[in-house]
Amino acid sequence: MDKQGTKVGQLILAASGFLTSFIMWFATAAFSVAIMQEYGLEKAQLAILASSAMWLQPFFRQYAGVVADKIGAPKAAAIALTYTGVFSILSAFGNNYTWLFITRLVVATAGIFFVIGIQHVAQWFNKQEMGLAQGIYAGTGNVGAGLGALMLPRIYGLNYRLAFIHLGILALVLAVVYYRFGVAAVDQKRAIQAKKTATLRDTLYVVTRYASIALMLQYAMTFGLEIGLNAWLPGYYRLAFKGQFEAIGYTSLEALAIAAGTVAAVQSFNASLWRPFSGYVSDIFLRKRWTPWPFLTQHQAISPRIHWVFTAMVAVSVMMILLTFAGLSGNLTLSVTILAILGFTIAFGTGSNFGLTPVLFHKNPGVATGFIGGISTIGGIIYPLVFGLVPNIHMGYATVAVLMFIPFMLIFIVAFKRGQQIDVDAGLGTWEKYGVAGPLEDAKLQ
Amino acid sequence: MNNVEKVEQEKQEGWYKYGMMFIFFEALIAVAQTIFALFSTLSGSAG
Repeated sequence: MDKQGTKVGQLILAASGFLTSFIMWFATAAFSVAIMQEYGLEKAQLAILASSAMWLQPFFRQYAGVVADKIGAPKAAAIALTYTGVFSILSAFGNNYTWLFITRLVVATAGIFFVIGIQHVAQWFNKQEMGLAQGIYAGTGNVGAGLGALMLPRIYGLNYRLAFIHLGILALVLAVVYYRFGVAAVDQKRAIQAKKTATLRDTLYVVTRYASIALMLQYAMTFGLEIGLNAWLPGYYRLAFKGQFEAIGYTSLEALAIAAGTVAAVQSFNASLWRPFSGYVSDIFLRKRWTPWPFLTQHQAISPRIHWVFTAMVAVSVMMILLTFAGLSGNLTLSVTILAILGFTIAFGTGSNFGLTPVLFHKNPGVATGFIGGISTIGGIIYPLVFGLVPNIHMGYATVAVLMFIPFMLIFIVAFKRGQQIDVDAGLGTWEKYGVAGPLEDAKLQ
Repeated sequence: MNNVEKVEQEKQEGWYKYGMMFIFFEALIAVAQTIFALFSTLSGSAG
């Protein structure tokens, strides 16, 4: 196979692995009604089971990035798919809730595949193509969450055990394919470079850079928000628009749940499916040299991608405030329309970030991606808590936008401010102090 | 098109146009799903 064929093949491989992993990650949620019925769970127990899918993400994703740099994405992917596949099969054979809970907790770490695949794609595509390539990879994979929720109950009904077995077998087959056909990087030089920098010292150095912290917060306000909303929105629409739903004719609890779930899925689908488009826009910003924000860095090669990231941050914040106003108006149609646009802007944010991160941290793609894609998932735990704590159920979105997102944007502005070269080495302490082999200086794109 | 743009575009390989077709296909699904969700919910057929 020629180099270009291999390159596209690696992208397809990474996206397939991510899609499978995402379906496995959220398969528990897709069968929540069946599991609740079989084990006689209370709502609180079900909420714990649902939220447990996020518990191990921050730590495991960080670690997965380092492993991907160290041993190469194909081996890391094969390991991840193998152990999650095995545990998915094991989860089907228990007869008590504790067994199910523990095995599904392990299966939920399938979400770490995101970091492995980003690292893999970053090792194959050049700077001009990075936005679209990463967008296609992540956007296609993210659809797994919605696809699982939509298709699994339709294919398997309440027979979640059979679904878990089939998904486990699929993951194992893919692990073999990944191991056999995956190639770590476009050339040996890139693979060796990533391997050399996959140390604890390098990790600590990267995660204390202002640029990585700013990008992590940006991803927390986009991808963190996306997964937080996945958990929060069905309940929000059921409670906040109960009267409107009943007026349409959804009177039973089940009908109400399905209707609320249908509108809530609008966010998930838009946030996932528009993500590649955002990567493409990031590439356009780069080609056209668009730098609309006067207070951000202007004249470096990478500057336009930074401007697109910030544009997305502004758009998400504005849409969150508008979602509050739409909720306060009591207009269901308006609220769902705003929600769709919010999903669209979240996709701007997630897609724009990974058009930039692998380019900026090309010496340590796995480490940087692990940190940014891992720690940011904490947002998925925090936002629903804030939404639930605010006395008026509609006010949570504006509260998060004002109290969290605006400070995140200010940090981003400071990290990438106008009038100086982007210094990816700027942060807490120097590279000499951390004892790393050298600075990230060649990422200072002139 | 200036020289810089020409150089930048030349660096994108043949797969890129298929990638663009793919993103528009995905975007179409997102729009269709949004319309379906709104229509089915508001018409009372979602539950």
